[in-house]
Amino acid sequence: MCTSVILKVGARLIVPLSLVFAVYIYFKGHQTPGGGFVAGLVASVALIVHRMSFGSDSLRRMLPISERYFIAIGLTLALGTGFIAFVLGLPFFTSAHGYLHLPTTIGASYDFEWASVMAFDLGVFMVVTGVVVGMIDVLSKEIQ
Amino acid sequence: MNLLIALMVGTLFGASAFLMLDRELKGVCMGVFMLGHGANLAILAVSGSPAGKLPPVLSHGVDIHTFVDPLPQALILTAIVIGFAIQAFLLTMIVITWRRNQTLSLAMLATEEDAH
Amino acid sequence: MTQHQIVLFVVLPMAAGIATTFLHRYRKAQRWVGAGFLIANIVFACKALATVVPNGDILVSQMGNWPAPFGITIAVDTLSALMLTMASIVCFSVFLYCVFQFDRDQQGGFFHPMFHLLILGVQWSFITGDFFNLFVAFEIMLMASYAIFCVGTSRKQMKQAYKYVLLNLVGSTMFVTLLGLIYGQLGTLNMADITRLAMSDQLPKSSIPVIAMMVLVFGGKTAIFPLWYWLPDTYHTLPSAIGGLFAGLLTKVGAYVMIRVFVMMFGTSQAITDVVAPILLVSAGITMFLGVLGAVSMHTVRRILSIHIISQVGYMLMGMGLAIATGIASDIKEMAVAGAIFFIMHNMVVKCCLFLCGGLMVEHAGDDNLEKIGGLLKRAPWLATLFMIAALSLAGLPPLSGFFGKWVLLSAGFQSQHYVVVFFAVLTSLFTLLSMLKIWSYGFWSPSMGKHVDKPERRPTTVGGMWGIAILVIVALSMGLGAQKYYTMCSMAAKSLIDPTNYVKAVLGEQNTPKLAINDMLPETSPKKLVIKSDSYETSGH
Repeated sequence: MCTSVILKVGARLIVPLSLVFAVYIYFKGHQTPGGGFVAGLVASVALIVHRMSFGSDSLRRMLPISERYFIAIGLTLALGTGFIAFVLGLPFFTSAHGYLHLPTTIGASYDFEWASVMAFDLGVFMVVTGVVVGMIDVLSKEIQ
Repeated sequence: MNLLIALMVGTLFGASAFLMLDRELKGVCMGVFMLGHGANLAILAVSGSPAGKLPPVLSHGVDIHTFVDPLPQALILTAIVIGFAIQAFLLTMIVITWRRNQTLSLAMLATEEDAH
Repeated sequence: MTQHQIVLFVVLPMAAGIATTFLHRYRKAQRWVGAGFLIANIVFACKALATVVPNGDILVSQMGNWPAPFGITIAVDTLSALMLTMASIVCFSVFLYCVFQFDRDQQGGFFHPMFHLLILGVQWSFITGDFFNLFVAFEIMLMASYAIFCVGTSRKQMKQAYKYVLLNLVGSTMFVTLLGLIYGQLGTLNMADITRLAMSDQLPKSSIPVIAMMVLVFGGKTAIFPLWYWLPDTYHTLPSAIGGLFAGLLTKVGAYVMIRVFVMMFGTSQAITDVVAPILLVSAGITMFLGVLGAVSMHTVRRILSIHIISQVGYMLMGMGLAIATGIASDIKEMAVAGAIFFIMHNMVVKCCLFLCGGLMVEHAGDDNLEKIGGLLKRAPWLATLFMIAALSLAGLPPLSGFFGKWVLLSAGFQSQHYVVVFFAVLTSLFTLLSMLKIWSYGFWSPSMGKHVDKPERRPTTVGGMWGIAILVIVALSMGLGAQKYYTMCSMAAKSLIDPTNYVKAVLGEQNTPKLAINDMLPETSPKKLVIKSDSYETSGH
């Protein structure tokens, strides 16, 4: 665990910002570069910065569940998305999509395109976050 | 550009071959990681050329010369993910080996093995 | 079984892997869940076989409903269904053995999830219709096998684990580089699409060396002659059950892929078969003979069995080599392919069974060095019986399964006049019998010798393990006694591999399928366009 003050102050700034950025990349990823995988990496970088500056215990308090369950839940989500299409008699992973009219502050409504792939992507997000955070946490414990 | 990538691939493969002949496990593993990067670049070089192939799905009114076949990039991404997992696994193995034997030298590991 | 249900072969083991990860603290629940999934797996595999076999149908499902050369295809034809059935039975028996014979440490950690993920990789390789997915499936399978390799490791096993992991990694890297090259040359990685290109003779000249180099990749995984060096050093350090699982599945996946690639995909392309056939045939002879010589010279049960894997791979190679060397579709070609398929199925079951027997021998005698143990016939008569059946089946004595596999291969060899490889095959068979008799006479038959290691005080409980072995022996016996039935299925599979028109049609649809050109009468085919007209997809919003 690093005790540098600069890192701690920086982390307070970087961590929430990166987490928000991860959410942004996640939503952006449907049509343009981005998506669950990259978002997961960004989120895990944020969590690792937090771990580096405040230590493993603090990270544990921050995460609601052990990161191992992130992996299992994410896989379930990803697999479950495919399975819905399967139950409906379509090929596995067949995606559904549609538009959601969201009101905006400037008057005209914004068409948000949702797709069932997003649930899959959320699963990917969780798997990536769980794997990367878990991996680096375990390995750096060894080094200390 | 292709020549540059080809040179980089060659350098990476050469460096990884050199590293894999190392007497320490650290070097060997670094060599394997580098091999993976070389392979990824090689895929990019041989199959991502904008001249040949187009993306399978296009919409109206786009200039096709500005698009590249995205499949090789998907392949590379998958290969990177797999390589990532393997790196983590190998590093864990190294850590365990170190904890048990306090050495990463292949020669030392070999001499400690009982003769069969 | 409907078309889209074939994805269950991937989904079920994955779900089992996830469930057992969740349950990794509850050992009992983990076992029951695993057993449930594995039984479901067997049921689905049998259902798929029953659907596919009567008419030689091919079940195809396009992931995400994307059309064929662009999306990911999974397909089950007769060959895949046969392999799935055998693999699922082998997995279940090994699972039974592991659950009952392994102690807490060996089943600890994430052994159960890794076991299911290994099955996921194996089954995925059997059903995938896409080259890159084959790579991914291989990687999942190998990654799980690395992890299983390291569960409860001794120092010696760790050293060998490095060898295994590093060599496989280099092989995988080569595979993915070759895939990139193939995509660059052919513009597609869909197996049916590549088959179509090969059938209509549209493979560019420059792609031939790339494709021929595939022999190195798959040969490394299958442990053929110059690339086998990793196998004898690594497998014998494993616990027997894991050795059995690896021997029964991993090398056979390699053999399956070689059949799929070199017989089905490129078997119709003269330029490639000219290069590959001699390599396979020469390597087959050397592989089987040197492998069995190695086995005869060894003194521990596990070492004998693991080197034996190599020698058995030689027979499969021989079948493939004969098939590829015989240019046009003919009875001999069909016989050779069917023989290879039959032999792979037989070998999956019998090899795994022998490894499990070896494991129980260790439980009974405390060691598996043949110079130290003995008298197992009296201590474990049932084990001895089951071992005898499996061993004689491996050696190829009638009326057991090995005999029919070898018979078909040898007669295909005679008819196509490849006498040298036939000679080596017969010689190898003789030595196989010798090495099996060595285990039998030293381990079971000889009286307990004075200097044997201390026996365990009480008799070990081996009922669970015996059930696992018994299942495999029953399957092996049924393959011997009902060889006609199995052979009919194998030759159906062979037929559809030799003339892959139906496979291509099932995956790509009618209009893209060329007729198999015999006598150089090539049909007119337009070069494939990779660009879909944009209006056909515009409506879907992409």
